[in-house]
Amino acid sequence: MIILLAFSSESEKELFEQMYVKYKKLVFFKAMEILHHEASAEDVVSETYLRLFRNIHKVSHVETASRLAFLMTIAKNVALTMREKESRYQVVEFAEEYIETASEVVMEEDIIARMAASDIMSLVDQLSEELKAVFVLKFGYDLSHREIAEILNISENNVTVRIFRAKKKLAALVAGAAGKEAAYV
Amino acid sequence: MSEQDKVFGELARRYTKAYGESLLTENQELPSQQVDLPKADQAVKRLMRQSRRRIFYLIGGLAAACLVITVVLPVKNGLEETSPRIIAEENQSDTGPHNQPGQAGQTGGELILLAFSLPENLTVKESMVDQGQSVYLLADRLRDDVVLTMEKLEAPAEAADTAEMTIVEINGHQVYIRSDAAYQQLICYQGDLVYRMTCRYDVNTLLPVAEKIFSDEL
Repeated sequence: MIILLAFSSESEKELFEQMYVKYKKLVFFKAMEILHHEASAEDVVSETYLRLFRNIHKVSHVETASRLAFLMTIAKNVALTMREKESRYQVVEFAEEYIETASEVVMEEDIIARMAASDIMSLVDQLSEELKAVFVLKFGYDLSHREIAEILNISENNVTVRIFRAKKKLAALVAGAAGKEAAYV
Repeated sequence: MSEQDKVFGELARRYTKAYGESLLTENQELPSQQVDLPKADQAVKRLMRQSRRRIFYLIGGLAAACLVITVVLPVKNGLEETSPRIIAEENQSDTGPHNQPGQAGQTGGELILLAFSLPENLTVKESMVDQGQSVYLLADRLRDDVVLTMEKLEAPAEAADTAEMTIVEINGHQVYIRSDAAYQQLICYQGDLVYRMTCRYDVNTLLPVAEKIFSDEL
């Protein structure tokens, strides 16, 4: 058991190292696009890989593309949070919204199945980065609200609120794309 | 998971795959110029060190326990009861050479036994005599293994190798340290012995050993 755990840690360590060597430049450039400041972008690289390091086991089994998407989801979130702090104002979210509208969002499966990858991309990209991050981490990687909260450094309550908002918006977008309106139960 | 969440799951998985593939393409098309990220490099190196330590904990736990039971405890118990010189005499007269730690690796002289207890994180992995120096390889629980050499100081001039080293005082004694990107070094003198020790990562692995040398006057 101990040896198996050790091998698992060793392979995850190698994976982490590879991901740093291969993608640190991309993370840096993406952070530069958001922050336009080299030192801050480098801080984003450090923080992103620290968060990846803590969560590498959550993506060690997924394919390379999805793993890179996970890394970049964290990086964008770190960069945007940094920009938000620097701009001296914070977006306040209210959990009450979730409570008021906690009805089930309805979305039809066959619509998604018929959509091309490019359509899926442009659809989800219509979400704001903060909604997209929680949506992707929740449904793309099956992470719990607590895990998402730790990765994005936000409260679990905010995760819940954002997930609901993301679902609601996506349902509306999908319905719009299919030429119909989203229905709420 | 509800049916609706399954649909969202399908959407999210298709999105992450498509997004990841677009990022892979983008990564390949990045300009070839090097980006210098010294702070990030350092941060990642620190993480990797932590990771090495964690792995060592996992696979080294059992080995360390065995080593402590079979080698260190008997040696330590012996040291607590008698002085090192007495032990050395006993070893010469009563004990066969193979009962001494690391005797198999001895060349050219007698092994100087440790006259102090080791910090908890360190255990004797191997010992030998090499060109008049007693050499101990000390396994560190945090994988920052230490090589300790002890040598009888023949003349004060031998202290010259501490030039350009930083002086730190421990229990009123001066020790000399040097931190390098490649290794950490500590030199100290006690009695007629010079102690030289090196490790890979952290000079704080060495300082407690020096502290033991000065505090454990067996």
